[in-house]
Amino acid sequence: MFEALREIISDHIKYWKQVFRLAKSDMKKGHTGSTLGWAWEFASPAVRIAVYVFAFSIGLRQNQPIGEFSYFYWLLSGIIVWFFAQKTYVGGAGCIKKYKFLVTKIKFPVSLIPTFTSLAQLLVHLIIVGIIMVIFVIGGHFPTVYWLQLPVYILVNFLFACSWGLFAGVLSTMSKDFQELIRSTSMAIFWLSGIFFSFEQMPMWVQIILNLNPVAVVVRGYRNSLITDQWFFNDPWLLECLAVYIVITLVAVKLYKKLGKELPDVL
Amino acid sequence: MSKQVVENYARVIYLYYTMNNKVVDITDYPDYIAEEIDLGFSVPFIKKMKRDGYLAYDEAFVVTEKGKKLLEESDEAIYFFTLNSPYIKVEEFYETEGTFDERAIKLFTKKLEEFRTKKKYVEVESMHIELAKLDKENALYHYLANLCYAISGIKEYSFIRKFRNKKITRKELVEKYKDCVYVNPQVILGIEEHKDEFTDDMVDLVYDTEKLGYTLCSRERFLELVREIMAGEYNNASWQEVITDIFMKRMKFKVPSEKKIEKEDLGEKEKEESQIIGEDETQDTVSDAKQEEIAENESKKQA
Amino acid sequence: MINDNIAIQVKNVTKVYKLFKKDSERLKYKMFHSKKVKFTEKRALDNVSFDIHKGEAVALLGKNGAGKSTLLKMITGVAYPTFGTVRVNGNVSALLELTTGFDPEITGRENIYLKGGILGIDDAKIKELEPEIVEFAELGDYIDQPVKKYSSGMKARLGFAVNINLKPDVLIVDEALSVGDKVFRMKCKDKIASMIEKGVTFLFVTHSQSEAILFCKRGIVMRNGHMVFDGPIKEAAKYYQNMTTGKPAIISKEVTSYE
Repeated sequence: MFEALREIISDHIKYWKQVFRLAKSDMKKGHTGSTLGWAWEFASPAVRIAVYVFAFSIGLRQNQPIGEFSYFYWLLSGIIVWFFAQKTYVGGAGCIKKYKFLVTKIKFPVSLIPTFTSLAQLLVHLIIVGIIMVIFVIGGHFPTVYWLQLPVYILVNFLFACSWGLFAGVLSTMSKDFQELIRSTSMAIFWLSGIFFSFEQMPMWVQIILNLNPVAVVVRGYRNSLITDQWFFNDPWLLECLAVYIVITLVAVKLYKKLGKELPDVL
Repeated sequence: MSKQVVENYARVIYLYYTMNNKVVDITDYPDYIAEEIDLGFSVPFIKKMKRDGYLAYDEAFVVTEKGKKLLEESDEAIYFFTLNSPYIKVEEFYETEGTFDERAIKLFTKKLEEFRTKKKYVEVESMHIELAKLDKENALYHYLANLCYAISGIKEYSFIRKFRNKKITRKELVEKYKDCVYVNPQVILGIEEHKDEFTDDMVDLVYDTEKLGYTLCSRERFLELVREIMAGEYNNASWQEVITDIFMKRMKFKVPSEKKIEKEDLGEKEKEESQIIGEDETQDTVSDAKQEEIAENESKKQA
Repeated sequence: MINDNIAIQVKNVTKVYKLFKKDSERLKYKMFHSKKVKFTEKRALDNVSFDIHKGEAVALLGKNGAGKSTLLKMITGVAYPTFGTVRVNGNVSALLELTTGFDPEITGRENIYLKGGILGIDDAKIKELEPEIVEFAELGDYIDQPVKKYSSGMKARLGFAVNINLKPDVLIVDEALSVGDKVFRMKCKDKIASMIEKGVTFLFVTHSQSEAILFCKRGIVMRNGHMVFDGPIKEAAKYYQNMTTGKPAIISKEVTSYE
C-alpha cells in the first residue's frame, strides 16, 4: 500500500504543472457568463459573514468579547476555514464525476483530480485569508508571532482536503448513496465544527467526538494563531486530528488502488 | 509468486525491453510490464536496477555488461514473457521440464484437461489454439477440436438448464441459440493451411477424444463443415442458421414455416442432453453497460 | 513480442461488465465480495486475441455495441480487461473525443499547452510542435481568442490538430474523420496517410468502407464482442457488408453419404 502512495506522489510530481493549470481552470469554471465572474468566490463569503455577524452579535445579542477581540473577529477567524472546507468536503466528493473526461477519455492519473480541485479552492482561500488579515489590522489587531503558524494550519487544511477528496471522490463515484450522505451531513459538520461556539465548556466525551472532525481542529488552529495566541503543539487534540488524517489518507489510497480500475466503467 | 521470482523476472524483462527499444525517460517503459508481473510501482525498481549496475544511462537507457550477462542466462524468462498466456504462471513454467516449447505444450495440455473437467469451454477453445501453434504435428487436430466446440452450442447449455428451471423465458433461450456460433478466424485459417493433412476419420478422432456432453452438430455435419472450410467457402451466417434450426427442432420449439429445415438432424441424440453440463456461466450480450443498467433499474421500478 | 515489432498485442481479452441493481450493491461486491449480491453480466469482449505490428494500418469494423470502442479504450489505457492482457509499445494518441479537455476561458493557444500537458507531453516538446498544430487547426486569429468563442467545428479542429500532431507511435482514430469541412477532412486524411507512411501504427474505427480501404491494409471485424474476421481489408469490408446486409443464408445442407 505504501507503494501505491509512492506512486500517487510520483504522479503528482510528474504532472505538477498540469495540476496548477487545471486548478486555475477549475477556479474559473462555474462563473463563466456571470458579470462578476470569479469575484463571486469572494463576494458570497463576504455576504455570509455579514449575515452571521448580524444574526449573532446584534440579533441574538451574543456579542461577548473574547479577550480583547469582539465576537466578530472570533467568528471570522473560524468561518474562513469553513468556506474552504465546505467546498472541499462536499465538492471533493463530486470532483471525480465533475472531471469525468479525465477518467474515461484520456489516460490520466485520477489521484490528481482531488488535488487540483482542492488547490483551486486553496488559491481562493489564501486570498480570503489575506483579506482577513487586512481586516484585523484595520481593526487595530496587529500581527503577532502566532500568525506564523497559520501557514501550517493552512497546509494541513489543504492536505486533508486532498486526502478527503480522493476518499470521498472514489466512493461517491461508485455509490450515489455515499454522495447523498456527504451532502446531508454537510450541515451537521458545519455547526459542529466549533465555528460558532467553542467546545471547552462541554463534557470530555463530547469533546473527544467533536474533535474527531479535523475541521474543528483546524478552526481552533486558525483561532489560536489569530486570536488566542496558542502554539499548535499546545493543542491537546492535535494527535487525534493527525490520527484521523492518516487513517483517511490510508483508506483513500487503498480505495484508489482497489476501485481505481472500475471508475471508467462506472462513469 | 514469490517476491524473489517476481523481481528476477521483472529485471530480465526490463533489460530485454531496453535492448530492443529506445527508452529516453524512465516513464517510457510500458506500464504493462509492471502490471502483468504485479511488480507494484516500477520507477523505484528500475532506479534500483541502475544502482545495481544492470542499466546505465547515456542519452537513453542502455544495458550494461552485467545486464547483458543476465539476459544471456535468462532465456526461460524471455520465452515465457513472449508466450504471453494469462493461463500459465511463471513458476509453473520454470518447474516443468523439457525444452521451452515442450514445457509450454505440457502445461497447456494440463490446463486443457483441467478446463475440460471444469467445463470451461471458452478456455478449452483457447487451449486448443495455443497447442495448435506450438504442436505443429497435431495442429490440425487442435484446430478441429476448437471448431468442434465452437459449432456445438455447448457453451450456451447452461441456459437450457435455466430455461428448464424457469429462470429464463423461452424467448431468451432462443436468443442465445440464435447467436452461438463463433469460429475464431485463426481456426479457419489453420484448417485451410493444414487441409492436406486431413482425413475423414479425424472427425471421429476429435469427437471421441473431446467427448462433448452436448452438441448440435453431428459428425456427418461436422465433416461437411470442415470440407467447406477447406474449400474456402465457410459462411458463418448460414451455419448459424443451421445450428439454430437444429436447436429449435431438438427442443421441439416451433420453427417458423419459411425456415423449415429439410434435412434430418442426425446429431448426437437426447442421451447426451441428460449429462450434466457446465455450471452457471452467465453470458448475456446486451449493448452499453451503464445504459443497460439504468434501463434495467428503470423497468424494474416500473414493474 | 518485445523485439519482433509488435505494437499492440491483445491476448485472450474478455471484458465483462457486471450490472448491479443499485450502486450500493456494486460497492458491497467490490469491497467485500459479498455473495449475496446479485448481478447480471454483459460481455463486451469475449476472448479476443490479435497482434498488430509496428507500422500496420488496421481497420476495426463492426456494428455499434460490437466491442470496438471497448477495445480501443483498453488499448488507450483508459479501461482495463476483466481477463487477459493488452500490451502496447509506444505512446498512443487516440482521437476518441476531440472537444473535451478544453478550458473555455483561455485561448486556443493556451489550451494546446493544457491539453498537451494532460496528455503527458512536456512543455518544451509542445513548444516545438506548437507552430505545426496552430497551422493545422486553421483557426487564424481565433487561436488567440478564448475557446468559449469557438464553434463546435472549430473546437473539433483544434482537438484534432493537437492530437494528431503529437508524433505518436500509435494513432487511433474513432470515427473522428467527420470533423470540419471537406477541405479540412482532406487535410486530415493526407496527414494520416503521411503518418502511416512514416511508420506510425494506425488503428481505425469506421463504418465507412471506402475510408477503411483507403488507409488500411488489414481489417478486423467484430460482432457481439467476438472477433469474427481478420484478414485483408477488402475481404474484411466484404465480410462486414454481408454481415450487415444479411446475405440470405443457404439452409438446405445436403448431408453427404458417409460410410
